[in-house]
Amino acid sequence: MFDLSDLLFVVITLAYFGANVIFAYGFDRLMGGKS
Amino acid sequence: MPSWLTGEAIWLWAIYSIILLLTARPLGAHLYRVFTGQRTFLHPVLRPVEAGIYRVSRVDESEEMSWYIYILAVLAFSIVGLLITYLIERTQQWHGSFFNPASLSNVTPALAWNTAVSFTTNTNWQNYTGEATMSYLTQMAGLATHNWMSAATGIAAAVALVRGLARRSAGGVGSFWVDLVRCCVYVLFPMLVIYTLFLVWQGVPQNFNSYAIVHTLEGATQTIAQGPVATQEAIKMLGTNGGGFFNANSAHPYENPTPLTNFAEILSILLIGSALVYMFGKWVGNTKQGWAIWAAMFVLFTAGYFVAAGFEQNGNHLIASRAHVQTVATATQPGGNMEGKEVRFGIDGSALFATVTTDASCGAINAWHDSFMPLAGLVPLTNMATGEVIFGGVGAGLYGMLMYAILAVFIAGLMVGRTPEYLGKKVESFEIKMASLALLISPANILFFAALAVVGTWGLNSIFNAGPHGLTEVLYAFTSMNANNGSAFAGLGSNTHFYNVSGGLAMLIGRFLFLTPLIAIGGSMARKKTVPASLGTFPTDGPTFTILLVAVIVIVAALTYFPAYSLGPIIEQLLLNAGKTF
Repeated sequence: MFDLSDLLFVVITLAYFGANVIFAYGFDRLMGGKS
Repeated sequence: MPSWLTGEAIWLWAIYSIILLLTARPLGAHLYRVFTGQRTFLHPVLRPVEAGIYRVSRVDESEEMSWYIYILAVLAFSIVGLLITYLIERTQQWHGSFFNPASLSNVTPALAWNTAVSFTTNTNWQNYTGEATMSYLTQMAGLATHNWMSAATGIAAAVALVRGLARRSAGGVGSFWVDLVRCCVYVLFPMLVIYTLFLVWQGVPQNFNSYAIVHTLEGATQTIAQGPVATQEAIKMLGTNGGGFFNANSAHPYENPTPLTNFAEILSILLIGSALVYMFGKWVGNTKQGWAIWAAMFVLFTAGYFVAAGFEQNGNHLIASRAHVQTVATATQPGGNMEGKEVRFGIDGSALFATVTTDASCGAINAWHDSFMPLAGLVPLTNMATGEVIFGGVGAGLYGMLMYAILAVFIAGLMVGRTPEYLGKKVESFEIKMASLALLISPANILFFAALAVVGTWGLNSIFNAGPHGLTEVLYAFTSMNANNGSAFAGLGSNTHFYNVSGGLAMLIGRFLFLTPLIAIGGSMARKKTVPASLGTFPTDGPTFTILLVAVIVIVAALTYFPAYSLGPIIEQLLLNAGKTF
């Protein structure tokens, strides 16, 4: 039913969103945020 | 009247523009009341629904989020929706005979991921034939649900930015969950009920029947696909999603059966985007601010429409001279370039649809953009490349346009040597950094993936046309995916591992990485105090600002994309003039 390709796409998804969160955190630091 | 312009082109534009103008204020005022939490005429019926959703989901209606928490909520909501859709697609062979009467098999992993990303990001890029790939459950629970949620997410993001611009010395930009629920309950739901009933009245199917097998007059057997089309069609257009139930999209008679539905579908693409601009003006306390932006959008929309309609009406001189086909419009035939168009909609109905669907992030089509004349095809390409800020996708258009507005006041500030101000707040280095970053993300995304596609067999093998037209097909694909538009130029076999994966990444970057710095601007502006206007303040509520805004958009787009376009549609038109086609 599921195979390694499924795992790969889940990992890609999580990696992208993780990177986006890090970018957002960086912008917040740049702004001097207190998040 | 010149041969490239017809009376129909003018009155279609005029009626469309008047209705768009007349609806902006009442709908914009309704949006303002909804998102500021005021009572609306729908509250007696729908307030219990809204309150019930908060109770069940344990959302605090009075919660205020910082911009960072707001974007985290957007990302978390999107990732969960993406993975659920992926799961639905990968398990559809077990959906049962009611939800999968055609016994369609599971969607392959790469295609399932691309589609899940596509609908999560409001793109609706489709590397598949809907009626032959997706079960009814996938269409409804996976795709149509995302049509709602991604549209509401875009509107919520725009509302957060507007709230940030309008507030003074505030720490938060609202609550994503509350904005999302209010958008679905008070905006999308009531409009979609009316719209769906209208489509059903006009002949769009809404059923769970198996596909009908019929015998044609010639004796051939034909399968006629159907299903719950009307509900998906309504949100597809109103939510500027664009993903068709059928492969032929809005050229299919079951999606767009009459000239009246064609007009209504074109109108519904920009309805909310136009009203959001009025909402913005009302929210910042000066509706002229909104109208100045609305005017800039209208100028760009009008220019795009008449360029597209003009080149299509002018047609291909080679067909006229070599095949002796009449390309001048007469009372009995439309003339011009009718290749790839539905006869029911004609040149102007197709040109208006193509312009509007790419002014916004819709991506529905009623004609093949691949068959447009080269410079007519340049119009949808450019519309998308500028970020679809011409009324734009629901929410996405407004926050993209506000990015340009901030850059415009920055440029005006440089001209007069003063710190730029917008809406009474100083625009400082952080805002300019974020706006510049947002501006650079799109061309970097488009041009990187397009370049990657044309340097190896992984991308080149899927291009069906040679020369500049083939390059345009690749450029269009990544521009469409980056801008979360989803319309396909055609002529590109994009259901391959390379295009599924690279396209998925392009859509994610074009949606969320573009959105992040813009919500950050909202958060930063919300904290600021207002300063009184002085002699050095550049007024942003008049025609001078409108002209500056249009100029900034045109110049930025020209500087960014002209080299690529000169190798694609521009040289193709020049070669066509010299007698060479691709």
